[in-house]
Amino acid sequence: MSSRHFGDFVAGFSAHDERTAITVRPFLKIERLSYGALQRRAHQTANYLLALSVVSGDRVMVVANNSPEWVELFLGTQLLGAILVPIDAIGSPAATLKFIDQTQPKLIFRNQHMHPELDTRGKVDLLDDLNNRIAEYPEAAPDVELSGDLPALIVFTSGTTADPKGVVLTQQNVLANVEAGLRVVDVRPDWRFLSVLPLSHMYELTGGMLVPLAKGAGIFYVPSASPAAIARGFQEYHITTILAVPQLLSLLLERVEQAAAAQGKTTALARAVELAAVLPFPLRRLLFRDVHSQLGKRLNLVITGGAPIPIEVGTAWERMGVRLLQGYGLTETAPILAMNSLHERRAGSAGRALDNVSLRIADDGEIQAKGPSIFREYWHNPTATREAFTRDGWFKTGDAGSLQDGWLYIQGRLKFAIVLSSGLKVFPEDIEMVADKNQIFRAVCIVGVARPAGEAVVAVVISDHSDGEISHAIDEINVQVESFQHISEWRRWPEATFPLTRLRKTDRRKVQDWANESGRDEEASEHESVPSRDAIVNLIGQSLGGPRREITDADRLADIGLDSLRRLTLAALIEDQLGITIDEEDITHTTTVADLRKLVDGGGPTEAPTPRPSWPFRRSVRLLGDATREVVVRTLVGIWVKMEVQGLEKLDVLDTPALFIFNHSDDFDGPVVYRALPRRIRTRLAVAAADDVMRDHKVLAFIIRFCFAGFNLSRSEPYMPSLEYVSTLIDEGWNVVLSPEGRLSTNGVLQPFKSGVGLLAVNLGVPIVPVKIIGIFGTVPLHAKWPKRHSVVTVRIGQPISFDSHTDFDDVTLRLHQMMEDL
Amino acid sequence: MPVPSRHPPQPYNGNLMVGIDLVFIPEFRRQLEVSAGKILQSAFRPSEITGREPEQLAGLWAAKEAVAKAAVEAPKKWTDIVITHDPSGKPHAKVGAQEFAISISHHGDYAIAIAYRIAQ
Repeated sequence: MSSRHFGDFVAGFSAHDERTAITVRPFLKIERLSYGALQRRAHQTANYLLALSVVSGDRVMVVANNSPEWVELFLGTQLLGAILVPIDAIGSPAATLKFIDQTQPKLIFRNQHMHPELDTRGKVDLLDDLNNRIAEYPEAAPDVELSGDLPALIVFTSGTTADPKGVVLTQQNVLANVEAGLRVVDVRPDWRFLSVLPLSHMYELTGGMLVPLAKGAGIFYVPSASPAAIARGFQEYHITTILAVPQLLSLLLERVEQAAAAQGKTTALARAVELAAVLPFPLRRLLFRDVHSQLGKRLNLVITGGAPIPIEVGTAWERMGVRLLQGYGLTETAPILAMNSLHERRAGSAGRALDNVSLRIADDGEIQAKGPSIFREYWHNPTATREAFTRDGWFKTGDAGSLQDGWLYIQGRLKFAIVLSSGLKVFPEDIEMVADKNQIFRAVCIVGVARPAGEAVVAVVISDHSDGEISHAIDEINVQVESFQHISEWRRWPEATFPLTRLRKTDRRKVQDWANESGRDEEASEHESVPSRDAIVNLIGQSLGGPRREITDADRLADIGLDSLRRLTLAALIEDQLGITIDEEDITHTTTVADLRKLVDGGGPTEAPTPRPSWPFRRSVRLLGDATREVVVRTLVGIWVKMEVQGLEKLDVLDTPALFIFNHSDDFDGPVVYRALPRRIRTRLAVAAADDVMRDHKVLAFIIRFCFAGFNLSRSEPYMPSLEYVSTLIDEGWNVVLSPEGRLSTNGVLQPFKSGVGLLAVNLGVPIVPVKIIGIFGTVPLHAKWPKRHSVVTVRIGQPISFDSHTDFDDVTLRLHQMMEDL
Repeated sequence: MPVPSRHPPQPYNGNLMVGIDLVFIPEFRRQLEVSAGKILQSAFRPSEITGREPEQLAGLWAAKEAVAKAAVEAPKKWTDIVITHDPSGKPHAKVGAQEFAISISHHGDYAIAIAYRIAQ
């Protein structure tokens, strides 16, 4: 068998040298890492680890959130033949310590301010500092002989905290899966992947990291997996592709429905979904253009796995013009075994086996698999390894299914596990082991109860104690188990004992069937009557995080842990997820949950920001718009304004893009600045215009957008979106021109600058060029529609200036103002 | 959001008012993440966020809480508290006409700030 290894994989980055591999957005900056730079950093990381005497076969653990450094560390370990042990950053310390005991890592990488408890367990390094650490190390690949048979990863399977099994995957296992996956989905370099699932799971590591990297595509990390952050990620990065679990898809769908409801379009949405069934894909996208603009307009492929997707959720996405590819796999199979393809998809099926995977169904219905990406062994656990394979060497998945004409249908699990909509598996024994220690229960059986997306963990209990005591005991259990294992409901078993199987064990199936039956009525009524109640409590929960006690309407927000900072978060979440703006000043430390409900009921819908279309920046529009501007506007301005430009030579060595600022005393300022600047700058120059002007004067707005690549900039709060937009334009290579005064001067005298200009100057890291227009005031007087006089104008271009990011911001604003005065 | 006045104006003439606050940085970071950064614009003025890391912002947040406690008249909005730094890097705060000397410190996972109202 050919031996694929990560040396070749990283060497392959040279083919995409200049392309951007990974993008992150810390605050107002955008950080991009090109394939060339990623390759160099992977080499440097390997050399750094080598200097710390990490060698082939050594384990390196990473307990951290997705980031470029995470990818660098992964590749760095692989280039040495070392083994990366990726651990979920939000896992419990107890589980992580168990993983450390098992794998004895030589080095542990964690995030700053997370899991400090690890520091006593070995040599710990901060992943956030990786780029500083490696900076001095050689950029050439270390001289280490690699082969595909080297173990690459030890990945712990989800859920089994009682008996965690570390799946050992070789470089070949992983790369064979990447290659076979690419033969099903032909990823192209212009695809943009949003990465939201943790890289500590093989699904994201293979599908969300290695698949795009193999083809030169782009990966985008968001600061958190909150729905708000994900929605922003879609819009900002114009994402085309995402790997998701059903839970995330349901959440995003809810947002779409909420947005429709807020605009009174719920019925229209439902009707459109019906209608779309008969439309071809491009028309569906047109029909749902509002939805697509919420999702950044380019999303066209969602790959789902982890848990079966509810048919109606899948259908809704397909109807809206987003292709949904369902797949199936396990950590042990690196991970994909079967998948639908772009050309052929069947609803309800997990797709066909990858071309290097063989599938068979055993007599008991179990899906069994063979192929180059099946794992080698469980780490230091020969018994478990033996049990995982049949005598003739097929891997036993533990799942039941059927094959029909080569299409795989998953029917359930042979092993008893509860599969949450997040794709995480909960093994009942893990929770029962904790519950059994509690004296108030005579017996506890943990089962899964079906929910619209995935299953919920439900405890069926036998106990002589009161409901209150049982609830309390359940809370106590929840503190002791992993957060994803939390019991969400409990029910009292009506008899004195559980039904037993012939082997005298609790018959879990029977208990589960009963729990599903008994829960049905109450669940239906609960959901229909008070949907909004849950929304508020849910948002409070998001802000609080972690386990919490029951929240009642009489509770004061301050008493349930919402300090002033969390109350700000709560207001932001209400605005973001319910589309309702409430005045932050109204939420105080004495506000109760009931008060909050009233505020939400009385709150106004969030005002939609003035949209910023992307068409003015298209190449074809620019060709036409620039030509129109050069001919029409230039001529027009030429009639009224006689112009002299001073200081043009200062732009000869200017590094573009740059930010141009001018004094604003006349409506002709914009065109005059345009005329004054050299062609090289003016053909890639975007002009900021006031939000209200762009909203209220449609014709003017069109002219500004068409001729001047104009965009709207808000002159009041909230300031962050505007500033971020400017940084995106600069990042895409546009010079930006704006007036820091924020509005037209009514007397021709320079007004104070808005502090936003200082913020931009310090954050963008591009030169600022002051441009002073002298003698234009009164050419087109305020509120006049047409020029009133001819002017002789002097345009003075100032010395470009850059600020370092530590300069104080108000100072910069004042300095720029002074420069403009002095010019 | 009005700032909690845990020290409502007292008959005491208010010549000397002090406030202190401790921030657990991981939780501060989490709030930033959960709100997708939105709380920044409710809590800070643009000039206060410039080029600062979450750890430093946590310190500034502690300072704002401390100032709110030391203020005779509680500010209505967090952005009414203006924090600036003098050329040596020493931070100051203003709420309307009230001025405050503040001091911020970080260690490990915690940021702490103390504010002292400068008598007019």
